[in-house]
Amino acid sequence: MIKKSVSLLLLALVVSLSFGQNATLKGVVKFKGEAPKPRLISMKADRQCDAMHGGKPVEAEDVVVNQNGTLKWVFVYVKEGVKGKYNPPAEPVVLDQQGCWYHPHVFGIMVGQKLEVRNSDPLLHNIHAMPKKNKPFNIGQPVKGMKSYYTFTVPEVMVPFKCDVHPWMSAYAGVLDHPFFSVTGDKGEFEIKNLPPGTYTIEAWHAKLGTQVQTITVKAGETKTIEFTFERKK
Amino acid sequence: MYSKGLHRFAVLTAAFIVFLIGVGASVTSTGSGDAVPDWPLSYGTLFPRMVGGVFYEHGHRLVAGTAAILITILMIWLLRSNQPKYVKTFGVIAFVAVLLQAILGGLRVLVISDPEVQNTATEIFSVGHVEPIRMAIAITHATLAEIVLCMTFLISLFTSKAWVKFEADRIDTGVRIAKLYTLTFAFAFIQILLGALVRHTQSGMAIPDFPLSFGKIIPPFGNLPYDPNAPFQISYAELQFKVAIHFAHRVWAFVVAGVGIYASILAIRTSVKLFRNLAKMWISLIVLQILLGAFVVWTKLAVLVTVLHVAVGATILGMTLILSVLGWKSIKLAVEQKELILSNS
Repeated sequence: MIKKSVSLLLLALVVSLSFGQNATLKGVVKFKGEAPKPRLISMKADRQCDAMHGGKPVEAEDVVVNQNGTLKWVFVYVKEGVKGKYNPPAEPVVLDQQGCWYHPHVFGIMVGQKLEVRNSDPLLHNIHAMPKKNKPFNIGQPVKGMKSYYTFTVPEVMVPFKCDVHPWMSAYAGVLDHPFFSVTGDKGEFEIKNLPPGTYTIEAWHAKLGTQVQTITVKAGETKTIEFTFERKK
Repeated sequence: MYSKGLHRFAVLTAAFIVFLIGVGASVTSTGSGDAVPDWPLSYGTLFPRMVGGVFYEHGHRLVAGTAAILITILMIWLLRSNQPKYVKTFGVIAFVAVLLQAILGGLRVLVISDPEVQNTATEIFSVGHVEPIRMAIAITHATLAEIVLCMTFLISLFTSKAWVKFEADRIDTGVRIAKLYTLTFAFAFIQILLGALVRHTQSGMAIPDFPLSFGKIIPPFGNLPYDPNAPFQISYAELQFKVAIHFAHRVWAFVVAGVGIYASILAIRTSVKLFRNLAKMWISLIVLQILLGAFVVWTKLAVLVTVLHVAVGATILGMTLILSVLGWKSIKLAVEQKELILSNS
């Protein structure tokens, strides 16, 4: 018993020490130029969806410029340089359909990690994933509360999702074989923790504005800050 | 031999097939092909909520089902009539083709939504990803629809009073017209295939301007506007392929129009009223079709314009076949008449 406790303690110490030596990459994704007016989506094609939003159009999430001039829904990840094997977390990533809208719009998931697709709406949806490397799938969820599960088998950035019933619904998943990714939110910030020391290619991906890459080198225990700036495509 | 009721029913069926092809195009144009993931039922029922993409996909299934019923009735009617054997055969071919169509339509859906079907398909064709199979099924589905259409157009012709009268008139319209319309039909069929390829490879806007291509007569294949930082990257070769099939569809349209218009001018000069009228209609339709093609690009693939473009294309194909058959029939009849005169003298 004592032996087991000591072993566990030592293991915890080793793990914490090793993480302590790892670096953190953080930063912000900025938007240059005048923010585009949000595209308005009418849900009149499905009265139930329309009613959920009070009959008002909904702002699309394809280009969301935050109040501080940063960009939301940018998938920032380590594209090259990761060594070693990483096991996927046991808890699933949840993609919810609520108000005829995908939540979240952009997310990261590891190879082998479960994706749970929920229907929180009292109406039918179909979840159509259109990967180019993984197997595509198309699941019907006609009833509220339905859950479906799927696992990706190979890394792929990005996998688009759509609901063919409600064509305005779109989501994107970045599938990776490591946990070094982040998605920008309302402040345009991202943070990638526990990155082992080394040189990496970091890519920022946006569904409409494209991709940008930077090469960085991080040392043990360092917190590195970088910045990406996107501008409107001509 | 002539039955007014049968002929009218054949025409109704042919018109309904044109409508069905248009509805099918609306499914592709609205990206609703996968809005109903199960088949033959739709969300486990015969009538799901007709909203959004379900309206298009399930609507297509309902219209296709109605077309299948019409063709079945037409086949039974033909088989029980005193029509010649070849007309009955066309009825049976149309019936078999429409059944195949239903199966292909179902496979097109299930190859994505049913993991077992997907695995079996990728194993059979030894491919790593199901997308090329999905595309091949979709293009075959679109092409077979045109064959069904051709059958119903032919049946409409063979059961018509005009066909009987045409036999009685025994006027030789010349080999050249028959050959030219046959060539136009073959060219039009290739054009339909190219169109299906453009639609199902999402190449409709691969060339964003018209009548020029990237501001030039021939697209600059070595210097296409390529974004290496696009969110969904395709290779330069893939971009070239998309531009190439789009451009081929444009160029080929003028080849079809050129040969067809020449044939139609010759047909208009003949003394056969039916031939003259159909030829005039053909010219009108081809002009409309080229205009619709231009508007497809100018409106950036507006659904209604694209649907009309596909439906008019199908009608042109069917009409070309009718004109071609009429051309050859006139030659056959003229030869028979000459032989008769010779044997009498």
